[in-house]
Parts: sequence; C-alpha cells; structure tokens
Amino acid sequence: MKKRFFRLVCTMLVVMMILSLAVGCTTQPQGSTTTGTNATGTSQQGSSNEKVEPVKFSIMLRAGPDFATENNPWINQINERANAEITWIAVPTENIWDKRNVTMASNNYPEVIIMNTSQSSITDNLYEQMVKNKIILPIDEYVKNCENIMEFTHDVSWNAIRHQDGNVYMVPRCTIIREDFMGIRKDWREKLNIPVPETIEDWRAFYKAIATGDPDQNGKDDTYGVSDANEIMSYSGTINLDFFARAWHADKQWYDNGNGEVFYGMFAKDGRFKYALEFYRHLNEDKSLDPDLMTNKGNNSKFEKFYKGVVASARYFAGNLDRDLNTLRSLQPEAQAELVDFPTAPESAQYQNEKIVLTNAGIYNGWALTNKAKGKEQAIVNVFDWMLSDEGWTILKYGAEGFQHKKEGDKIIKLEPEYTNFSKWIGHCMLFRRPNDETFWLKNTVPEIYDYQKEWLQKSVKYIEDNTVQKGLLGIYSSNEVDFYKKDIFTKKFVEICAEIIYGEKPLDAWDEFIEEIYAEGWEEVTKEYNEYYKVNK
Amino acid sequence: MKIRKRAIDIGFEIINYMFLTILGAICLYPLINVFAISFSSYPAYVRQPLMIFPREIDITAYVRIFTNPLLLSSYKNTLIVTLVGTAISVLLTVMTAYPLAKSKVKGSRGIMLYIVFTMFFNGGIIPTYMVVKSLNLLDTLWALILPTAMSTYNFIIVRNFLESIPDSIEESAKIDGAGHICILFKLIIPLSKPVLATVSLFYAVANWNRFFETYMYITQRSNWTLTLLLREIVSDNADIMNVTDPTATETVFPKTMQCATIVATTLPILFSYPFLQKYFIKGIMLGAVKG
Repeated sequence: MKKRFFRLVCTMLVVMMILSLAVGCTTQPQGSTTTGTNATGTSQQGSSNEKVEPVKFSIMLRAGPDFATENNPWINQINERANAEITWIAVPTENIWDKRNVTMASNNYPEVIIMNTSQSSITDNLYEQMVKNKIILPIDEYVKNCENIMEFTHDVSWNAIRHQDGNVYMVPRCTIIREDFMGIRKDWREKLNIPVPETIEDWRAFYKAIATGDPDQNGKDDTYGVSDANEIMSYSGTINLDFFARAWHADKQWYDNGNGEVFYGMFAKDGRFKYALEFYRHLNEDKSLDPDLMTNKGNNSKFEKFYKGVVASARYFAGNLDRDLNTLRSLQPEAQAELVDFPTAPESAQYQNEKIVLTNAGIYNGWALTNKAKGKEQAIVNVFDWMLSDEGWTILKYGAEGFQHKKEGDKIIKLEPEYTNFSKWIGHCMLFRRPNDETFWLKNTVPEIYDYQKEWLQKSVKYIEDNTVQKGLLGIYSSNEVDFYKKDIFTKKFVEICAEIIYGEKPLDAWDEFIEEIYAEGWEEVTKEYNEYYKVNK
Repeated sequence: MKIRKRAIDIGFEIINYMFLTILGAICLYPLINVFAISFSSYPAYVRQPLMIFPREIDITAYVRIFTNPLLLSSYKNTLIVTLVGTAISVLLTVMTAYPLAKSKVKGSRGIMLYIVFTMFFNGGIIPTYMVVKSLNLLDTLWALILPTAMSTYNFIIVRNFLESIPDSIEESAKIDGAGHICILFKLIIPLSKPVLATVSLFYAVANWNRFFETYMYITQRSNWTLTLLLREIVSDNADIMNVTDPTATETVFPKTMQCATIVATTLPILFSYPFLQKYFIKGIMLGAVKG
C-alpha cells in the first residue's frame, strides 16, 4: 500500500515537472512588449511651423551611479529640444551586457540598444544572431541624410562596422583616433640638465640620470625612470614598454612589411621584440627600472608611482595632461610634465619601408535600432543627428542650459555646483561624441599648459594620419585572435619569458625560441587570417 | 581551596595571550587601515599607505557617497527588502517545514526530495527572468523578495529542529481541541524561537547583501538597493583611467573611494554582529545531529 502510494506521488511529481516544462517553453506572442512604446514617430525634418508629435522610444545604456533618470533637467531639455520622449534604461556600467542579453533573450528589449565593440570592430557576441533574426534593423537609408552624424563619424568607423551583407546595423559612437606619447617629469629633466630624449640611447641616459642624480633632492636613490604593470606586454591597457618597442616596429600594432603583407610587430618572426626587452634589461642593469615592477597590478599602481615621484615617466593621452599634472602637483607642488614623441633606434632604418596598418576605427560602442523601432527609424536617427548638432552637442557636453551652463554671447559659463555634479555622471551617458572636438578633450584645468596641451593633442591625431595605412584591416574581428589571448602561452608564459629576459635570468635568444612557440600555438592562423583580410580590403 | 598555578602554566598562558593578541592585531589591522585610508587624503595615502591613523583628514569620498542622490532611496529599499523579505521567508519556511517534519504526513519524503533537488539544480538566469517578468514583478521590490523567498538550506535546518519537538505536545493540544494552525502558531513557533532567530538572521543577511537580483530585475534607479549602489560607486572609480575620463572634472581617487565604500557598507553589520554572534554559531549547529 505504502509502495503504491509512493509510486503515485512520484508519478504525479514527474507529470507536474513535464507540464511546467511545457508551459515554460511556450513563447509570448510576437510584438508583445513590456518596454517600448506603440506611438509612431514622425520625421523631425517636418516644417518648423507644424507641431510634430515627439518620437517616443526607449534606450538601454550604461550609466554610473550618480545618474538619475527622474527629474533630470538634462534629460528634460534633450527631450524638449530634440522633440522626443526618451525613456532612459540606465543599467549599471559593469553589468550592461548581462542585462542587455537577458532582456534580448526574454523579448523585453527597448527600441535602441547599445552594441559592444572594440576600437576596431564589432565584438558583440549577439551581433550575428541579431542580424540573422532581424532583431536589429539596417540604418543606411536613414543616416545618409543626417548631416551631423555623417560629419562627426569617422569614415573608417563606417567601414569597420559594415556587415558582410553590405548594410550598417548601428550608429557608431566615435571617439578620437590618436596616439599616446610618453609623459616625463620636465622639472627633473631640467634639473639634471638633460635634453629631451629622442633616441633609445637618449632615453637610457635620461633614465640613468634619474636613478643616480637624485632629482627630488631627498638624499636617497629612490627615483627610477619608468615602471609598468606586472603583466608587461600582455596587459590590455596602456603599456610603457610598448612605447619604446615602436622604435623597432616591435609594438602591439600590425605593420605592412612593404610587400603587401602584414605582421604583428610584437610577434615579428625576425624576433625584433628582443631589442625592446634588451632596452628594459639595460634599464634594470642601470637600476633605473622600478624594482617593484613585478608587483604592480594594473594601471593604478603604475600611475601612482608617477604621481608619487617614484618614476619619471608614464604614457598617457595628451587630453589628460592637465588632470595628471594636477594630481602630480597635489603630491609634489613643484612638478612639471611634458610629452615626448616616440624614440628611434640604430636599427630603425631597416624598418623604414614598413608602415602601421590602422586597426583603430575610433569606435566606442554603437547604437542599434531593434525591430521594435519599426516605423520610427528615421525619427529616432534624427534625434541622434540633433545630438551631434551644435545645439545638441552643447547640451550633451555642458549640460542643460540654464541649469548646468549658460551662454553669454559665444561664451559658455559653467554653473556650479550643478556642472561639477553633471560632470560626475556624464561619462558613459554621453550618447555621442564629436570625436575631434578639442574643447571636449581639453578641460583647461591648468591654464598655463593649455596651448601646449592643445598642440600635443593635435599631434596625437596627426600622428595617425601621417604614419598609418588607413585601409585594409578596419573591421576585422578574429575569433582565433580572441582565443589566443585567453591561452596560457599569452597570459602566463609570455609574461614569464619577458620578465626572465629583462631580469637577466634568460638570454635574449630565448625570445627567438619563444616566438616559434607563439606561432605554433595559434598565432600562425591569426596572421594568415589578417593577411587574407588585408588582401581583400586594402 | 585555591589551586596554585605552576610556572609552566603561567608561562603557557602568557605565550597564549601574546599569540592571540598578535593574531587579533593582524586580523584587525586591515580593517583599521581601511578605516584610516577612507578618512585620509590621497596624497597622505600615497605617502603612507600602511597608516593606522587617518592623516590629512579628507572626507571627499564620503561626501561623494552620501551625496549620491540614490543613497537614501537605496537604504530605504534595502531595509524594506530585508524586513519584509525576512518576515515572508521565515513564515514560508516554517509553514513548509512543519508538515514535512511530521513523518506521518503522506508523501513527505517525495516532497522533500523535490525541494532538495532545487539545491542542486535551478532553471538558469533567463528562465528565471522570464518567470519574474511573466508575474509582472520586474522593476518592483517584490522581484527581490519573492523569487528567493525560501532557502532550502534554512528549510532543512528548521525542519530538523521541528522534528525534535515531541509529538506528545501536539497530541495533548489536539485532545484539547486545537487545530493544526493553532498548534503551529501557539505551540510550535514559541518553542522554536532559537531556530527562528537563527534563520531570521541568515535571511536578513542574505537580503541585505542582495545584489544579483537587483541588477537583473530592477531598472528604475529609485528601486536600487544599497549593495548595488555602492558597488557601482566603487567600480565607477575602480581604475585611475575611469577617474580620468575626459568628461569628468572632479577626481576622486580609487583607493579612498573603495575604502570609504567598504566602511559605509559594513558598518551596520559590524555594529550588529557582536550582539548576534552567538545566534549565528548556535544556528549552524541547530540542524545537526541530535542526541
């Protein structure tokens, strides 16, 4: 009796589970949404005398914790001036992709979504599926008449995001395409009576003087030339060693070898990267390399060394010179900083036929219209176009007029404390950027260096224009490359071999042996893939 | 009669106290260091990162945290989720554990297996999200309370405790005409105060720290909980490169920000834990072997 009852209960439980499985697998009727609106937008390009209904749409974007969507005068002014009713779905910055993917999977997505990109291509893991299933819409015909979008989007960005079917499925958010130079302690250099370094030997001499000349005059040998993160070249951010490796075209760039083929500088088969390692080895021998290098984790520790006055140099963007100088001066009031161009090396002449092939398309995410925006694509794109207009861009950059800034003639006056509060959260909320707007990058927080900083900002942009092949590798996305970067040979062994060579535990030739391993472990496929792409697209 | 301690015992005690004092200091030092850094200026931290006392007092990081427009609402939401969530969770747990603690209830073994099964397997993020969405709980605090209302682990603890209550108590109540609800609320629950206090604490801590559900189900920032807000503040300032975003004019440094956030988050727990410590320890043992 008991056994029969037990069997009955188990059978019922199994039936319940199967039923709940069947219920769970039913799909919601297409078109039912809990976000998004049903109002159809109308063109913003109607006659100015007609009252055009505002276009209503939702946009999912990432935003910091200081951003509030309710009672926000900036949002209200954007809605009013762009003739829109935008619902901002502001997701925590760190979780944007999880949240977006879950909402996509559950059919709960808004009209406009953010798409993941690297600087050079679309890296979004759902992109192909979204295109295939027509979740996101092609926007070519809608943007072609948008003057501001076309003017302030790099041509290279459009090329990079064009799908193989010929369509463009997102409006890219463009950022400045530039090179970063090395910032050094100008006051230390002048104190030690050393000219601005130009060659690799100059840099070695400069760093040696820093290490031995006691530039901070505290009576201790506690200053060094340069530091780096402990991941050395496998670090994904700014790398100081990478700056010096440029002298031999051995840095993290793809180069055209002059014969129509491309190779990755750092992994060049001729082993030229060992010249860069040798340079750091010399610094170590001269005791001008930060002894704590192998314990530095990430950018923070590197920059802290610079701010603290432990090292004389750090590589950064010209647009950040004033803010870095302010930080430096909060610890060392007499500090001065300057930027220095890439060095040359005796071997540089043999590489003069080689040129960097641009892979940076200046993209910093993009905005895709989903199928829930059907019927109002032009209206939404027009709102984006307004954001890049003079009026829209002023509001995006300086906040709401009358709240965070005001205009006096041609001058913009920032209203405090509202502007400072605004600047705390604006970061990723900036839907679009005018990528080469100098006033966007130059905050003028140190007026005495403004002209100097502006000069170097222009130089950092011009460097790309003058020194790179602009076509050929834009838009490439190599899954082989992505997989390679996850392997131990890159994340662990590469770091070990660099450290062993720098600190003298292994000879320079060890690099040549390692290069063979690199290619055997997958870089051969990556190089082949890049060359095939380059052949077709150059 | 007073027993005189031998010299070796005294020596052992001295060494013991010294060792425990040093161990305590080692455990306490990181907390003190974090506290000191949170109240110090960035230059002071850079010059002396191992400080015990704050130097060049600077409360910019705290100002940034406590002037965040979402702080009050997130504290309020966290309190609501914690209090309401804990009450609902304890009620559901007791009402589930009580009948299953009685071996006379037919099918209790099967139901137990069904419940325990959920400890090892769950539906996954997307199916759970779709269930929450279909119940129209998205963007409400109920999405933080109901889907995780009952923990199988706590349920087992309560069930095991209730099993130890003698059947004779129920039988005598039944003889007096009491029904199941009356027995549960007037007899069983008063006798179960230790276990209820324990699981209440477990649920309260879990609800206070709820984070994943918040970022998954909540869109409106006014519904954020404290943990998500503070985590966002920290990650927004985690890297000096984020701090030097060209659009920001004010710099708050990562280290001081992280330390201030740690202090702001853990202070309530730190203050309440000494009073509740014994319940935590008791609770771990409550569901264990009975004599």
